Amino acid sequence: MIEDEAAIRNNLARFLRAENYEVATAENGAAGVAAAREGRPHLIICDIRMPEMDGYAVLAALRQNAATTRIPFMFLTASADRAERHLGLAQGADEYITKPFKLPELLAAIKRRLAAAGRE
Amino acid sequence: MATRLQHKKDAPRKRLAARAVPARRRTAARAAAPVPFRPGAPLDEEFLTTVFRVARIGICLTDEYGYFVEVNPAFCELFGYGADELLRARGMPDARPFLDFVHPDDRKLVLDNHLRRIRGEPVTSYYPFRIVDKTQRVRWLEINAVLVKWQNRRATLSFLLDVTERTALQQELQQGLIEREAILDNSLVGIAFIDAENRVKWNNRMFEQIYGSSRGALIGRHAEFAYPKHEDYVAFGRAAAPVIADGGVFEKELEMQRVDGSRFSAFVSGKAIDPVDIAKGVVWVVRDVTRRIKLQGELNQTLLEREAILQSTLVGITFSVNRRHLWLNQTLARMLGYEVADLIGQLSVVHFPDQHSFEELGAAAYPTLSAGRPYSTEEQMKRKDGSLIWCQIFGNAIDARDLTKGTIWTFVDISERKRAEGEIRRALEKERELNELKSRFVAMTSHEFRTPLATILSSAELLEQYQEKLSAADKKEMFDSIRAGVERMAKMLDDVLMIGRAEAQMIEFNPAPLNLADFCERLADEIRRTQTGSHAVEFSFEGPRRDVVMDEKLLRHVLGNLLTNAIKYSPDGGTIAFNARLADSIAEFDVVDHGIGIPPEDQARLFESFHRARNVGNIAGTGLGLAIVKKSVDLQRGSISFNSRVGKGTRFTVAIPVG
Repeated sequence: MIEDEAAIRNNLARFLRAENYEVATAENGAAGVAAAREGRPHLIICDIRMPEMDGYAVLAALRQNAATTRIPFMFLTASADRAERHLGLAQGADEYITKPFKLPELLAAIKRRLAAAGRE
Repeated sequence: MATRLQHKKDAPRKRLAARAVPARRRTAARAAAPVPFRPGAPLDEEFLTTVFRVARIGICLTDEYGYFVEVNPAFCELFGYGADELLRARGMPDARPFLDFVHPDDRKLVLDNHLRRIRGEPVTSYYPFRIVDKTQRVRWLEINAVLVKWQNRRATLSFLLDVTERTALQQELQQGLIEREAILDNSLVGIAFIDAENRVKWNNRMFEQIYGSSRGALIGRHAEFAYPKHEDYVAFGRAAAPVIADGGVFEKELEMQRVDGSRFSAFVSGKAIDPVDIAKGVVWVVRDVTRRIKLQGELNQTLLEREAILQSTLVGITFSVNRRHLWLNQTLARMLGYEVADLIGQLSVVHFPDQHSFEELGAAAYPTLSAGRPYSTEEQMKRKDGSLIWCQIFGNAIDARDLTKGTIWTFVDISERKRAEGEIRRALEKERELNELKSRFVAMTSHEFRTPLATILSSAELLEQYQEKLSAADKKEMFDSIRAGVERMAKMLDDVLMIGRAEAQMIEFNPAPLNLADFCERLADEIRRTQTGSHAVEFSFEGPRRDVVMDEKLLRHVLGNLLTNAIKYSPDGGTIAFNARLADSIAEFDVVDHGIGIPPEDQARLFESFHRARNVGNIAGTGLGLAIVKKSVDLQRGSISFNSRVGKGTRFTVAIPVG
């Protein structure tokens, strides 16, 4: 989970742990890319607007690396613009979820992506 | 010649001596030789023989059939034959009569005259005719012949003069006269010779044509006929007489009259035949210049019209050679703030902003012009008063192969268009800025609403659905995050509304009595209370008094935002200095932090709405705080400045007039 907004990061971590997922968090893009390479997660949830390295850069970095290129990738962003959504999906994100979001919907998307990747 | 004469002299002399003079007279003359001359005495044979032999006139005696009986040396010389060749008696094989030597065309004339003479009719003495001499040359002779008795037979004594040269001269002269007459007659100008009585003595054909007269009808007419009125004639004479008497040529253009009374414009020039004796008359040359005058009038009219068009057009026009104005219209002069006369002859550099721009235009234009293409550009021109105008300039060479023939340049003042373009550009820039502002606003509001909303919603759902799995600390943190999210949204709404009202000039400046020191103190406390980090806010106040008249609300916007920012952008904590100094009419405030600072690239746009420095990282913000500060300072007619270094900190200084 890569998210610069501490409250959301913390809430999502609590939620996913409550749902029995293992969660690692990063508070900016650069840290997130490093953590993903290190931990090889089954799925990545990433904000777009972040300092240091934004979500698009994170996605590009992960897709370029053989170790991380197949990891399902979900944008979770305050950018609700239709164009941005298209851009995000075009860049290769598997899901594009806008804030605010309902936890069950986010969970459904996570499960869908993990299933598609043969993880669940 | 002399040899020939010598050779032939004996025979004729003997014959003449033997036949022409009676023997007794000869004897008498000899006997009387010593006595004085007696007038009227008969001529003796020797005398006559001498005359016959020596005379320069050709003499021949022919018989009734025209065969030569006697010829003298001069005759032989005229005909080119020897006497022995001519003196063949009729019947001899090579005998030729006189007529044989006459030019075939004149034989009839000579024969006729001879027959007339025989009949006793009068015959012109010394009439001309032609012979063909031994060398086959045609010679003109004049002949006079008399009938005589010779040895009791009728004979003709002829005297012949060589007039070949004289005739040739005469013919030449006559031909010359004919030619001259033809030239004068066919001349394209009218020529007349006016005598001392002012009558036409001679005129050529053109003269008659000009005055509409028939051939010869003007001869003898008084010259006054050519003038419309008597006074015109008198006036012309008065003007012309002194010039002509002086031997000069008098010239004048005047209206004259044809014989039918119609008028025409004439150019007349006259000169005395002999200035010493005016009475010999004057030769006048007349030309009908009606058509020329008419064309000239039309041309003048055209020129006037063209001048009027060129002068009244809104386009400035100049004709320049080697970049010097030879002609220009008033429009151009006015456009450039000059009088036309100021610029004529001037190099056009005078109305260029500088030497460089003048040379640059020349370098750009002349290759195009010499390639035969018109040159067009937009240039700034300098008016006489030094102000600059924009001109659309268009140049076209008179002759591309020879630019020294000059170039026509037109100038259109496009300053207004340029100004409008500038305005449009500025408007577009403004529009672009507004668009950018709008997208920045959309991006900001989207992010700044959705982020706290996501926090609030997820916190609410977690607290509701996963209560049992959350610790007490988690729960407290989540309730706090809901509160913080709501505050963040409320603050943003306030900021957006504030900036919106400020943009719409809806914020009022309402100064009221205020204890400035207390106000600042309270504000510092408020900041200390609400900020969570490890910051210290140190407040100081200087001033002879504490009470002022200021707009508290606006002042709160200014100082509140500056203090909040100071804390927000000092993520590592530290001391915030907040100083207030009150002077007579001004209150000064400093807010100094030791935070992240503002990069130089962002400093210029720092007070723009939604603009945030690039080094803010994940520090939340709307980009509206400093915009509100600036607007609030402006409303109070104050000023704000700052200096900042990245990583070292920032000092904002605000000065606001106080009542």
